[in-house]
Amino acid sequence: MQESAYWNVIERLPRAELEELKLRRLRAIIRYAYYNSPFYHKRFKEASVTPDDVRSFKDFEKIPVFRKDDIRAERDKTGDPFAGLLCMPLEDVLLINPSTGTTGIPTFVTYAETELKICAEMMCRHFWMTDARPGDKALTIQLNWHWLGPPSVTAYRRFGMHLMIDFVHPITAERYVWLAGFKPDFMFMDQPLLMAIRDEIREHTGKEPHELYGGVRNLVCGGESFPPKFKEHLMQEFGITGGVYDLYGCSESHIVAVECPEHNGNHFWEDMFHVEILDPDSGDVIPPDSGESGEVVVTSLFARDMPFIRYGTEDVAYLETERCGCGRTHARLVPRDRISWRIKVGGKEIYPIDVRRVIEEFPETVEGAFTIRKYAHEMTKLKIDMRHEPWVRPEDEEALASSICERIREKLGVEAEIRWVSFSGLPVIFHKIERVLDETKM
Amino acid sequence: MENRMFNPKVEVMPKEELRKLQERRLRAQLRRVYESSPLHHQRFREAGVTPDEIRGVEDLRRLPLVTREDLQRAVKDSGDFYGGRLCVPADRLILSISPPEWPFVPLEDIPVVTALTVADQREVVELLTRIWVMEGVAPKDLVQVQCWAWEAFGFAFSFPSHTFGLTSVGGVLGCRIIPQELFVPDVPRTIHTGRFFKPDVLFTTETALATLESYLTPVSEGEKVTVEVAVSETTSFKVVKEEEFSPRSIGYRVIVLRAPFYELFYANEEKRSRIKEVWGVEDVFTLLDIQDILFYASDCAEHCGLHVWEDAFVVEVIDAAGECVSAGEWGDLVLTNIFAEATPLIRYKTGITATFEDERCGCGRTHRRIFLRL
Repeated sequence: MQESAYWNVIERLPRAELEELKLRRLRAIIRYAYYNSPFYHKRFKEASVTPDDVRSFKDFEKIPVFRKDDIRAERDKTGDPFAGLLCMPLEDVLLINPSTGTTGIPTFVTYAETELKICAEMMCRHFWMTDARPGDKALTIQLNWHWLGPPSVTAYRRFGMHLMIDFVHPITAERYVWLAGFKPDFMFMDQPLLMAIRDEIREHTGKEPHELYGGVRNLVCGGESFPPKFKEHLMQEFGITGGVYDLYGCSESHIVAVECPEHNGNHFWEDMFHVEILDPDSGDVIPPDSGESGEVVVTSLFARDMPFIRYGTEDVAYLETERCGCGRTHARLVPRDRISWRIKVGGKEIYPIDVRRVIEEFPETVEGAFTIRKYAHEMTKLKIDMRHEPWVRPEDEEALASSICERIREKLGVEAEIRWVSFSGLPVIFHKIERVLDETKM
Repeated sequence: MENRMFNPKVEVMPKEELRKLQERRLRAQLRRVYESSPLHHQRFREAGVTPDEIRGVEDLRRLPLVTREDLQRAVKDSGDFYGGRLCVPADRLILSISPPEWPFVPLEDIPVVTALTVADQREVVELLTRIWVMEGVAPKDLVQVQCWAWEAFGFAFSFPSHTFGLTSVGGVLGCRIIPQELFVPDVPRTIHTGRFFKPDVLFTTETALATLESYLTPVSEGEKVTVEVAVSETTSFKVVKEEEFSPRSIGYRVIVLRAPFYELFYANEEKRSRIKEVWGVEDVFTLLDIQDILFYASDCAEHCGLHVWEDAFVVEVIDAAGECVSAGEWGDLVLTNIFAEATPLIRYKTGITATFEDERCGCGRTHRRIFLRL
């Protein structure tokens, strides 16, 4: 029997049908939230919208967007840890997961049984899409409170995969020297962490990562979106035979978007989520396929425990709905960056990913280890702290810097200045590099 | 506290019946490991014993002891990830874990890998559920569990995905779970979650509890407690500013202190009353876990030693000469796992000094109790 290319045939549902399904679910969840959640009830009232007013996607735009700070403000006001978002008794919830809290006081998301099942279905489709198969051995790193853990583990189980879990910590990265003996087929972890592991392996064994992990078929990486050259670089470093797939996820609404083998954006499932792209300045909806990027605003179409309706993720991406080469009809998000990392240089708006795309063309800086120093709100010149590959000779640094600056001028149209630093010279949270160091706030 | 049991049929099973059950499972286990695992087979051969010669617990002493170092040597010599321990085909495994001797292992350390099948997972959940009920955890409770992601313990409670063939303690008991990590950056996260949800039960370790306490105790008399969350070496933010805050304010009902074998611990009378006083809890329990062999033991409300489950383990205490000692005498704790399919261990010498008691406990449970010497 020929193996299906899809976990679920709904992945190929014609767009017209998909849109219809989406609108129906959207209207249902709005009604549900309005009558069950104090948070939404109040906000809809304030905006003078009732569920009956929403008959089309256009009407839907009347509903106010909210962000993490709104949850925090409401929480401080009411003392309710869920800020009035929870629509069922806490007794009916299976799990409570705190957010990472890298941007402030942790917020909480929940899983009730149905929601966990649906999220597991979501992960199954993603895993199948990234070529994971029953019987595979999967190595994953996760914090045990992380919201992605329960649906992923459930999905592994449903696949019949053999799992090895480990913990996220830079000190324990050296465990990966010997965990390689597990000989995984499939790996799922944060990309910045993977780099930390790579460094540990080099430092402690003198071996190359591909000598230990070579033969891994596919790698799914979350944490930070990364451009194509770096993906090739990762494959070589770890000896990955199949592919490297970028994963984008947001704990609020539980949306996960992953690349398919076409690598042209991250699919998310439109029978589960409605995603809009909003202009970060005007708040207007940017139509899909326009190539213009903006803030990702998510609506979960299934979450009855804790609905997320027009949640502003503060992540920047653009949206493509044209049928993908893989045959899936569901839209793709092309993730870019955090809104807070947007900078203005010489009157132009720039995100760190733009810089990364330019510098990864140079083999000396393919890893994109850099931080932009934001010294003013309107800058005349990009100031970048950057690390290069260890084999670059000191005498070549100056020439390299000037050719990178030249290329940045050419591609982005701005002046740049590069300062070479060691890895510890970059601001790092856990393993993640802070792409913009806001000196105006210091 | 009400004396409740999850599986009274087994937990108060008359001693004689229990022994019969134990020996039946022991014989089946020995036959299985002998036939399916190269390591076990070799060790039987070296001792010149076949499984059929071991009829009961009394004969067990004819088999050699195995230590963690032996297992590591087996990994090194065989080049096999499981050191030849695996007793089932690898495609039946659902989880492999590598509990370290210490969370931050030296690189020279060789991993000892424990694996689980679906049936193993189910059995661990059954044994842990008995323990949770024994510790007074009740349906609908909100339970905060600090553990490492790599632990079987975590796997057993935190993924309530029983609908897909996985059971979990939380799922069986109908508890809600808040998982947390054991590392220091998670201390503020634990506190804030506690402050928001007022959990009923906390699973933690002695050191983690001390860290929690230090965060919740004012530097000087009369000062308000502020809890700072550090997200990196350079960035931190204060979360709680204007609130009266103390260990008691979280309002736990029960605290369970975990004693992993690299951090051996027992909450004696003195420690229990101090923790009760500081945290305002009703009771404090100790949970010993030895993950290499999926072994868990805990005290009940009587606090007369740690209950082990004799339908799942054979527990021996041996003296320096390798002879089994009688109840009340001290020696080295030796465990035989008679339930696990994937990576069971026969006569695992734990290096823990212990003694045991076979008398029925005040709580009514008939299984052997062990006492630790720290």
